[in-house]
Amino acid sequence: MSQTLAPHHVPVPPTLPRVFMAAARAEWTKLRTVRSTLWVLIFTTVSTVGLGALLTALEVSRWDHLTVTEATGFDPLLLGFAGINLAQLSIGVLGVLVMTSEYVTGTIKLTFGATPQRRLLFAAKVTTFSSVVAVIGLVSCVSAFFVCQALLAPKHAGVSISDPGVLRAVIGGVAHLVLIAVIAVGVGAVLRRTAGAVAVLFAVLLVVPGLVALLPSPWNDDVTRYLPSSAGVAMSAVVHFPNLLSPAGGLLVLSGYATATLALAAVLLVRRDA
Amino acid sequence: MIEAQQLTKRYGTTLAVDDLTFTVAAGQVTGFLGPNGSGKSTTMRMIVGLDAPTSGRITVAGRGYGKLRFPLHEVGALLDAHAVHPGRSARNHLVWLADTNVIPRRRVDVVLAMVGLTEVAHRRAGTFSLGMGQRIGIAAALLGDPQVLIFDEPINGLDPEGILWVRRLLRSLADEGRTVLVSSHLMAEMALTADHLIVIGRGRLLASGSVAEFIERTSGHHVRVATPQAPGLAALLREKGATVTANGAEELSVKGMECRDVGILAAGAGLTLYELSAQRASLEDAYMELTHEHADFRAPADSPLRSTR
Repeated sequence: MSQTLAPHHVPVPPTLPRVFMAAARAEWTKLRTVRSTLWVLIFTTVSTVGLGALLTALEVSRWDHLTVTEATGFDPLLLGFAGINLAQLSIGVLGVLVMTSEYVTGTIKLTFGATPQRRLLFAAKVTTFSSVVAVIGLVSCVSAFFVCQALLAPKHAGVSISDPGVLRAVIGGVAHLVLIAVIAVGVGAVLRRTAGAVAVLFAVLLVVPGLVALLPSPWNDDVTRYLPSSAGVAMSAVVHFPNLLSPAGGLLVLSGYATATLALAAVLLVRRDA
Repeated sequence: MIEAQQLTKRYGTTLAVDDLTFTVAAGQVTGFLGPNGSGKSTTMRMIVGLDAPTSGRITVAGRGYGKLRFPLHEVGALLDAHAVHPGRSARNHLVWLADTNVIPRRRVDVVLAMVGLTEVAHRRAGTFSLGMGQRIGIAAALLGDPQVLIFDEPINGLDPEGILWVRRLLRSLADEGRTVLVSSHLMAEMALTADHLIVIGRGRLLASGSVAEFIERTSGHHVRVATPQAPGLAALLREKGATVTANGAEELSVKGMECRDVGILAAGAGLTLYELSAQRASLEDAYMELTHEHADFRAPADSPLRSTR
């Protein structure tokens, strides 16, 4: 073996935290260097704010005709945050692609080759993507909140961010999106194919709730409240709805799904050949 | 240095790599030869930890790849020239890869220049030809300035100029003292590029040695004789201990005897020769002979289309 070459410029010491930070930085580079990321994030923000504003405006227009039950049970954020139900789908697709695009294009070989510590790498992927979603989610939810409260103000139905439970509900909306993002990356890692992973994600978020609703009462409500989509909505509720978990309960349930998905993905990533 | 010890990989019931033991030394180009499907790519994937061996082990500089942190500084690999996101520019592809191993961004521009892609660095990789893809792959392998380099079929899709460039690159990397392992199913290319050969078939080691040794070891060495009295000459040669095979009515191939002795023998018996020549085995012959038993990997002999990958 030749000793004539200069020593390699490996950052010393290559500790695991440094491996993680480097992987996270690379994941950020990957995200920002494909155009689809930007489009999806713009779509997410526009759909969250736009759909919330639209539904709130419709409600305001028929405000004087609301029944007593409707008016007293009115959650000032429910309609404003309705767009999150759409945003979670676009975030979900992007999250799936974080993993599956690597398998589809073959770059996973480079990714694993560059960071053989696969669990650490996966943690870096999840952390990076969910951080991006946290920022976009915060921008979206805060904007949706203020736009909708501005629309409600003429009817004196709005709330202030400092009112009890309101800030928590806004943060809950962000957490909803972040946890869906985490689940999506996990599903992508488990299934490795875009079509399959998107189908599973959409089935869980869109199809299963519809099917569960067909169950005889009270099973339908009992099961529905534990579904990921309902658990997510529960986090951003200000008033308590009987068919939803408490905000803390919603957080717990959705975090549970996220943890289970990540655990399965982490096991499979290490066990399977790339 | 790369060392494989009793390396075995099984996919379900398929034995892709079977008890493979070899060493790839530094300072020379080692050709990794085998028919398509013989286990070359699987072996290379195990070197960089993408696939885990079923049994045995493979190490780079004495360590398993999975133990390496920031491995691109030690091992560079081109395993798949298509492994590029089509929507990302060539430069950004290398930038993220550099980020994973804390390689300075200026190194990205250096390797882009080395592979001649500076001009198109900002074009989306989806628009690239296969040859350009190979160049990005080679740039990615060189990114960390590693001591060990692994190239899986690096000349696929390259034009003659590109092939020459790869050959020179491999040579210069080896001359700098690096370990260079190059797989190919093209014998002629390996004859020009490699110093040392590892030949596998059906996942098993068939031969390992220098290119010269490899050719010498084969039985392809023979003397070709053309004569109108072929049966007579054949009988005479066999009498003297040579192995003779008839190729048509007037042509013989003789093993175990040199041209000079064949000529003297024929003259002594008054036989007419109109051709007498020594046939040197080519690397291709040696390879075909070695892999002959692995008939299931070969296209029918008369087929003009051999599968290429």
